[in-house]
Amino acid sequence: MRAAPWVWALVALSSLAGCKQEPELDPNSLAALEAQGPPHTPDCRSWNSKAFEGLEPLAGGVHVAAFEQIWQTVGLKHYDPTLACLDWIALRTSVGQKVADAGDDSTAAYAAINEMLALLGQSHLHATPPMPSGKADRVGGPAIVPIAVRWIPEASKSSVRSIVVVDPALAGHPSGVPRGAVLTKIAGEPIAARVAELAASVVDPLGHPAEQAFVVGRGISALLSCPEGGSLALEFLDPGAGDAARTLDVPCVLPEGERVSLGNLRDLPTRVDHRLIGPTAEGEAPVGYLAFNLWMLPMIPRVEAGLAELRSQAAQALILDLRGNPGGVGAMAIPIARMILRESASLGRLQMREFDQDFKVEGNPDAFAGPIAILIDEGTASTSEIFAMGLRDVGRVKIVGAGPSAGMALPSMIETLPDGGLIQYVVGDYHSDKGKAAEGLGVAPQLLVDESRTDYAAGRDPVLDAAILDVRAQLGAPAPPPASP
Amino acid sequence: MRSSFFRHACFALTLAFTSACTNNESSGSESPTKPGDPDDPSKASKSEPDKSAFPPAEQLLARHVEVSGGADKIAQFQSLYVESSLDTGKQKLTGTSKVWWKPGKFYLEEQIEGIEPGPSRMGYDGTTLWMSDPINGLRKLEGREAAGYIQASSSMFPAHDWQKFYSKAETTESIELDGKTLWMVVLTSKAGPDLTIGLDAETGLIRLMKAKQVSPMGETPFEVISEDYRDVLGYQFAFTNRMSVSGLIEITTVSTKVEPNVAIDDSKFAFPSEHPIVPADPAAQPPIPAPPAGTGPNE
Repeated sequence: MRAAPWVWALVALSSLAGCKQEPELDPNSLAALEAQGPPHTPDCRSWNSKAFEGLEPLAGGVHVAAFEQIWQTVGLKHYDPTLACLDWIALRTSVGQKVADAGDDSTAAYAAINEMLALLGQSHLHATPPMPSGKADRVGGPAIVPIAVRWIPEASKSSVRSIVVVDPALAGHPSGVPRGAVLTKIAGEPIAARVAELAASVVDPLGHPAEQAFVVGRGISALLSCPEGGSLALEFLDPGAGDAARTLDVPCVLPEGERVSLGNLRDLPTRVDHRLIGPTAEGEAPVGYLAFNLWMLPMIPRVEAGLAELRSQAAQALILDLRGNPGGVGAMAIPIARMILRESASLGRLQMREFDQDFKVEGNPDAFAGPIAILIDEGTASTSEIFAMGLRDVGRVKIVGAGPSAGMALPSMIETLPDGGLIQYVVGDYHSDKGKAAEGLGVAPQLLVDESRTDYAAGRDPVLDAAILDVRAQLGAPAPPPASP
Repeated sequence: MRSSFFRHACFALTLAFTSACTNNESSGSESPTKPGDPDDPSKASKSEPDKSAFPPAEQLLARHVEVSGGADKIAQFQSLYVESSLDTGKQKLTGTSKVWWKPGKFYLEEQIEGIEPGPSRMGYDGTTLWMSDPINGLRKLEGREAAGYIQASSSMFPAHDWQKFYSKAETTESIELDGKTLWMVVLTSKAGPDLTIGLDAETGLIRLMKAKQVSPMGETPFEVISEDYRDVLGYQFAFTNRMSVSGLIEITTVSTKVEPNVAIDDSKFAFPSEHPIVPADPAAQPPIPAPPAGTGPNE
């Protein structure tokens, strides 16, 4: 299952333009020792509401109230009370002035705000400006072109990447664009410059190896939304015609699936897909395939039902496809993990500002016990990463993918702002049971698969194919056929 | 209503772990205390107070009972049904809660949009405390976790029967909240988390409660500010409660329907009957009996 364009709206939008500043500490100092624990030290002050009392009012400006709320919220709710040792009050003065100077220019004001937030160097920490009223947005609309695209290598081991159609249909709506096609224009506009711009916006690709593909894929996917009942002209290189350029007017469709609302997130289409991957040769084990596009609590019964049906069909192994799943309600990881864990385990620990929480999962004697592979890609983020890393570290699953996950695994909240914008801010830090962090580097595949446009053009899904082979290998020698009743 | 103390906690427990896609709102009011602030100047510079100068905790608790209406008014309550709205403001998470209460027993349902399937439920029949929520499913609670909820359910009249769940009450400090002086009384629990109550020095009413919610994931500190006291059968209940889980979420609960002494069947509090688990393998499933003749769809 791939993420539809709207899904990206749920994910952190941080440009990560900067790194978390680490204080230079004497390795033998008390501060250095304390720095190994909760991230605050005597040398690096913690911030609280009293520290923010009695400050001079900021200069006026359209977006100043929004900035003040962001500054306060992050200052008081970020899990690290030292805010990476930044002088938060000095930043209020300097950034507040920039926001005031920006006047009603929301782009400039929010650029200044995000520059400040980026100093913390984390995902899920980003301010989104209000949508300009009355602005005609070419790509706006609730509908989508029914394709999924990703920014992947042209060929095996190639450093040249393209926007490739990896799924030519969504929810049963064929687009007519062939799998493996390279997208070149959307609505008559070449996308190459936009791709380059998006790729260049990632300033620390080594620290966040999945981010470029994530940012580019998300940015181009956003261009594929369109008005209900409309259509979008797509130009692409057709792999079935020697990469000849073709243009197709593709009807837009409304994303299907049961709608779920949670707070400011309204009417999200949720999908749970499952199917049995039957044996292609005698003696091969049937493998269950289960995918869901979000982590929203009302989806739990559908996931349970999907797995139950696969088990009733004698699936001996399971593939959980979390590619493109951007996360959602973190606590949903617990009931889903309970479906596949017979022994009690911890999926990791959340360190909040004033307390810790453990993702404890009670063992379930009726849980599915066969081998499990979790599929990831650069769009696998947040709760999906916590779930994958947590289960990997307790040895229950094998992670399969062509590269690391998004590396955006920090719990966060979203608030509306006085000017109509939004602030998403980090409230906790996550580490797996083995102390591993998913933030930044993401979850690395244990089974690294070579993936390129060539595979999709040939009709292959190399990551899924590799996972099927692997779980079948884990099952060992083919089981004898079941006795007739 | 005071009973919201525990249902607040239940609600926050569900939301506290939301990840990337959840929203939150900061309330306009400052928390009166910031537990854990390592460099809170008010704490850093504070010397140990002379507690002998404080009014005794037992006296403050007894006064609360008196100003709220008195023990004879409390004795009138043989049952209570309360409906409330839940709202997190800009976070736009809203819902409702319903509580059925009898002395020593309770049942609650909370329905929050997006926190489904179905309402989260909790019940206690005087023997078994159980909870059903989307995260941990249906389970019986035990130990410190159960004790925390059971003692919180008594918070309908917390100062009246405090000795049932708490072994000691001590006045520890006075603080200022919204221009009012509060005496802070720490109740040491016999089996669950301790409870701190802030009693208005002028009115004697409870304005603040602080405790920790125990769950399988750990302990979550939270506090509740109570206001909008109204008379119900001669007893003062707080109709608005603002709960905050520090750094995460603020929830305002407003009681919209309060019905004392309604008929409540005791079966409402009991652990739900457990349904037999049907094996996934059709071959292992019990045969479904054929319907009696004449009941088929085509007959």
